[in-house]
Amino acid sequence: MNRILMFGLHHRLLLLLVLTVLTALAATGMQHLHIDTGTENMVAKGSAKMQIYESVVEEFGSDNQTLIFTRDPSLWTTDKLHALKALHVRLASLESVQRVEDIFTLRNLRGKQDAVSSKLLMDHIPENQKEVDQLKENVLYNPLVKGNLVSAEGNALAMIVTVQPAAMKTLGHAGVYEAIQQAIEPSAEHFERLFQIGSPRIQMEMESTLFTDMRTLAPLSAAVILLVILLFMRSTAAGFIPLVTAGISLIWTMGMMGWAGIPVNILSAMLPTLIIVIGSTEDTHLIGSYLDARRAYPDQEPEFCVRKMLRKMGLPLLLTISTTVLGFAGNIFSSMELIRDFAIASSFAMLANGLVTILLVPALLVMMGSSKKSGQPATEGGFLSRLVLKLNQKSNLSIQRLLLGATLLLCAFFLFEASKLYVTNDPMSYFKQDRPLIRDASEVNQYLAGIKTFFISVQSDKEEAFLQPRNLRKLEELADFIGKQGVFDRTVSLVDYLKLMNREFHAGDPQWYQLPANKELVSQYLLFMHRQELQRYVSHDYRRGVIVVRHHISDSNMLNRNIDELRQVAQEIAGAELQVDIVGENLMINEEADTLLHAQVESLMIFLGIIFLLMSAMFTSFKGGLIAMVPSVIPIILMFGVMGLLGIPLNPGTAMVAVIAIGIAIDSTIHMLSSYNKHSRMMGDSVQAAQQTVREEALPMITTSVALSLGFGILLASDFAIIGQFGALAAATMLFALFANLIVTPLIMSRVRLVGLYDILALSVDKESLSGCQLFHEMSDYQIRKAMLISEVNDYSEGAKIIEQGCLDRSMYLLIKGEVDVIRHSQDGDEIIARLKPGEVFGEIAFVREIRRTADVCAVNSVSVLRFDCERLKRDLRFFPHIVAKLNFNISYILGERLANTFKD
Amino acid sequence: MFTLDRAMAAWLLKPGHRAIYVIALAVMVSCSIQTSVMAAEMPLTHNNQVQQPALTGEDIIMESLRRHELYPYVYEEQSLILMDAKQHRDVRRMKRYSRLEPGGTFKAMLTFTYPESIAGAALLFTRQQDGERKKRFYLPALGTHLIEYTGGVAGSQMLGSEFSLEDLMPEDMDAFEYHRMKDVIDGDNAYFVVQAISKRDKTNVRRSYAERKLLIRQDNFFVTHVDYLDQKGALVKRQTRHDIHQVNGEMWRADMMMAENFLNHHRSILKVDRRVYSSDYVPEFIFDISSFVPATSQPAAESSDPNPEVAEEAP
Repeated sequence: MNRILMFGLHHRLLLLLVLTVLTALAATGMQHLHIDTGTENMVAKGSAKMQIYESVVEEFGSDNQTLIFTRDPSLWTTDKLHALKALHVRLASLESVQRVEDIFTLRNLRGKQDAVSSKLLMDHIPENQKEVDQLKENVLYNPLVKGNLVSAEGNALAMIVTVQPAAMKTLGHAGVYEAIQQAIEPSAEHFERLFQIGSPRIQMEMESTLFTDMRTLAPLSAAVILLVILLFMRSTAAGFIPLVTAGISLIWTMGMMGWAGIPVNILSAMLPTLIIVIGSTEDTHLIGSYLDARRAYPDQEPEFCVRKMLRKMGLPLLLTISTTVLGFAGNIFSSMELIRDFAIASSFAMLANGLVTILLVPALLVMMGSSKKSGQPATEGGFLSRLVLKLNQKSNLSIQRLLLGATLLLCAFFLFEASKLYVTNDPMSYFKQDRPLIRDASEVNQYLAGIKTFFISVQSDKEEAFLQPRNLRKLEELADFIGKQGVFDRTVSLVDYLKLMNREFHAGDPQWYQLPANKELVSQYLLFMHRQELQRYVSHDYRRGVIVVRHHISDSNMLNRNIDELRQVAQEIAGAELQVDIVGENLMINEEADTLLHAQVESLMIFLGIIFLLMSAMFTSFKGGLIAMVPSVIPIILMFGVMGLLGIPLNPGTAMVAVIAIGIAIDSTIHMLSSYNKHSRMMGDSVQAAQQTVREEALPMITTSVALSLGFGILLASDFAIIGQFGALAAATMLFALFANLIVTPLIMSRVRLVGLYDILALSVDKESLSGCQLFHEMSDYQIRKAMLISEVNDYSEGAKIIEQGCLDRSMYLLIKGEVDVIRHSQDGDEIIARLKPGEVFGEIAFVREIRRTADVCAVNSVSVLRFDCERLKRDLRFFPHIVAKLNFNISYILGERLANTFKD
Repeated sequence: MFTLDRAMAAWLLKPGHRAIYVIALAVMVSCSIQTSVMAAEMPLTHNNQVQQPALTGEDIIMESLRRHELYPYVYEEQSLILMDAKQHRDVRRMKRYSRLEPGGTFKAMLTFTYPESIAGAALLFTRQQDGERKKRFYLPALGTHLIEYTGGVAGSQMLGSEFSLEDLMPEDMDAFEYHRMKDVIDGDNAYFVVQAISKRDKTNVRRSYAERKLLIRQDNFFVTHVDYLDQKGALVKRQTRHDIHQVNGEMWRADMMMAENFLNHHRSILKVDRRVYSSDYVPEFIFDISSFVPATSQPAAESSDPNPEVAEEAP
């Protein structure tokens, strides 16, 4: 491990060369980058629903259309109608447009006695107002038009534009949007409101917003990080090194995405910010440690200080990089491509940043850190640190209980608020509510049927099933139920056309607005319809009928609930003979919301489990794992509680906050627990060790947490609501984690003693002094270190009494340094029974069973001992029975030997 | 000659003269080629002679009508095959009766015989000499009365097919202006090309197309090919006629017509399974409503074969 950490230090030139080559290689991949803001990547591919949806779309046409919305109080005048006609002609003449459906292309059917007239709704524009009013009356007479293409009052209307599929591929969404926009612009002055809305516009706005975000957020976050680090660390190198490592990582990440074909999507727009913000934390820790070393060894060369830094920070750095990567990688198994692509890109970015940090930062520090003035950080901790220390210093039971109790209550409250959490995955909800796109969609919904569509497909295994009135009646029943549900705007199916024809073929008598009575009449009415009019609603062999439903619901929860109800009722109405499927792209995207929730819970559980195991391994005890969980779980609860309280939904952005934020916050926990371990071994007093830990770790923790919060807070400037929500929540979670790490964790850890794996590995065992030590006879190095680190190191000056005769005590001692005398006091005077040397054990009888000490043990000279507390040993080595067995055996041997010697004497 | 050659050679050897010689040669060759092309493009008569330019578009259409469309009594048994963009097919069978009265009134009736659900449904079309038209439908399931069907877009799809009513009726010359365009040769045949544009002021009928281009064989004045173009000049529909054969004298007929819509990629094929030129098959009373209810009357000589072969009886 040391070789890896020191590589950058020892081979600076080679490292720079390799990094330059790799960066250049990665840069060439950037030209292959492509953007994908399509809604297809918000749906799980290959699912059964997707297959049914694709078959429905293939048969009946796409549910993706663009709507040109017009509103004007005096829409029904000759001038306005001429302007509309001109607009229609311009749209229809666009090469990218396949078809325009509006009042100029739809047929109207009017019946009177023994006569039916079928003509275009508007085959010519009337020249006088009376005729215009008649025209309006005709238009609103048609139930397929009213509320669908023309508002109920007639002051708003829509032109539905179907784009050539080939044009979408050649021009792209932006190109199609621009072409349509150029066609509608000349007409804008004629109407109060005129705009287009649909898939091209939504995609175009997503793309442009994505570019804007990437252009503005990254520089902002870089500036914020630079300021924060300069403020706290007061070192120019400390400010710029993170930007260098972030820049290189970003190029590598973008290059990898280009080579691997991973598209840039709306979530990956925040990658530059994440790399800069998160990557800077590791650099800050390293540089902080380097600056400490410079202050401690002002006369030493930078290389010496860098080595000190690496020895201290090496393993924690590797662990924190791993947890961060794991946090991001937790979303790799999401069924949603949008999240999966982001997870791959972001975990690679964190890994790349970690690698670059480990290799490059030591080299950069050596090159840049030769100045004696290497930064003087702000006074130790500042106000916050002093407050935290004060809280820890007043370590009386009542304050601690109050703090822990308050934390528990807070968590309980936020857990309750978290139960109100709701999930949404609607693409329109990705935008901020004040955006023109959202306002325009609301306006359309106000006057006409919503722009979102789904299909209810009803299928029979018999040909001509939907020429039979009994099956058509089932479609009618479904449509009636949807009307009663009151949540969806409009339904259109073959039934509506047939009812209209039946009414008009009976001279317009409203009583005849019903389905034809028999199959023959249905077939004969359909003679008047062309296949292209029918193909949207019934298959060519009449086996399958479709109801097209339009709505404007953006709340996934509400939509899913109503769709579930509809599914149930639909199958009941259809019966056993017919198969009902309710499909739509918008539907599938919203149904992914449920998957989002389950995936979030799953990835969080897995991640917490991994953290638990990692921490347990690190501290060689499950207790350590559990303690490490506390500062992870508290922020999660608080975060979800805030979401529930403020009504922030769980969406593709906010769904990732928990695992990512915890993956970052755990870094501070690792640093804190490691530091606590070190101090508790040296000080022997857990409370003092906790205070010293807080004193040392408060500043870097506050620095990194504040920097992270501010960095994430920059994402609030995004035009995407989900990115802003992600940023706000992540920032808040960093602060929650700071609270947990600085306030709650010290209170808990002062009550426990943990032995870190690192401590075990790093402990330098003096083999000579312990050679022949019977207590550790036939024990491996690891077992010896484990046993030793359960103990406490105590130092005594010459003449100090270590054990007092007659006292009750359950400790056993191993002499490490110096010599001690065992002195028995009796009526006959004091007798030195034995003089013990390093490696010898004393106090073992009381360790085995509780009895009063039989003699004093006093230090002859300056002495260091390891004190083994019986209860603590039993507790901490509970899961290490082999070590316990060997210790017990060795203690028995020592006792036996003592007994034998006594008899010999 | 020898002296001339030597003089020419001496002339060529002089500088600059060679270039002049090459240019002159090129001009001569070019002129030859042009002349050949012009000769090839010259319209030919059916005797392979250059066509007299005297015939106008109107003349050509008139001649075509005279030869092929004005037989007074025609009975046909037809199959109409409707194909959508995905090649799904629907088949309908019909009987067509047409009568051209001496006064110039044209009557036609289409009666569906297959599938069963539409059997008995009929379309009755009348065009008076003054241009007045009437379309009436009979739907058996609706009741025992005719329904007049007005409005619609002329030239647009009829009865669910890509054929318009005009496609199935003789050309209405009063409704169009005809302009002769450049003749073409395709394979062994030479064709007149006539552009037909709607006379809006006269008919006030809105059409689904802006103009038609008719290709008419010069040898027999038979319309083989009609292209329908929109306002931008883009091709929206094409109608072609196949299985063309001479019936009698100057009269030719096609046993198959196809209409292809380039906007929706649908196709319709009309096959004539049987054709009879006889007033016995198209009596006057066939166009009366009484013949629809309860079923359309059948001439005594009808075949009941559900799959009739093409059997044509000459007038």
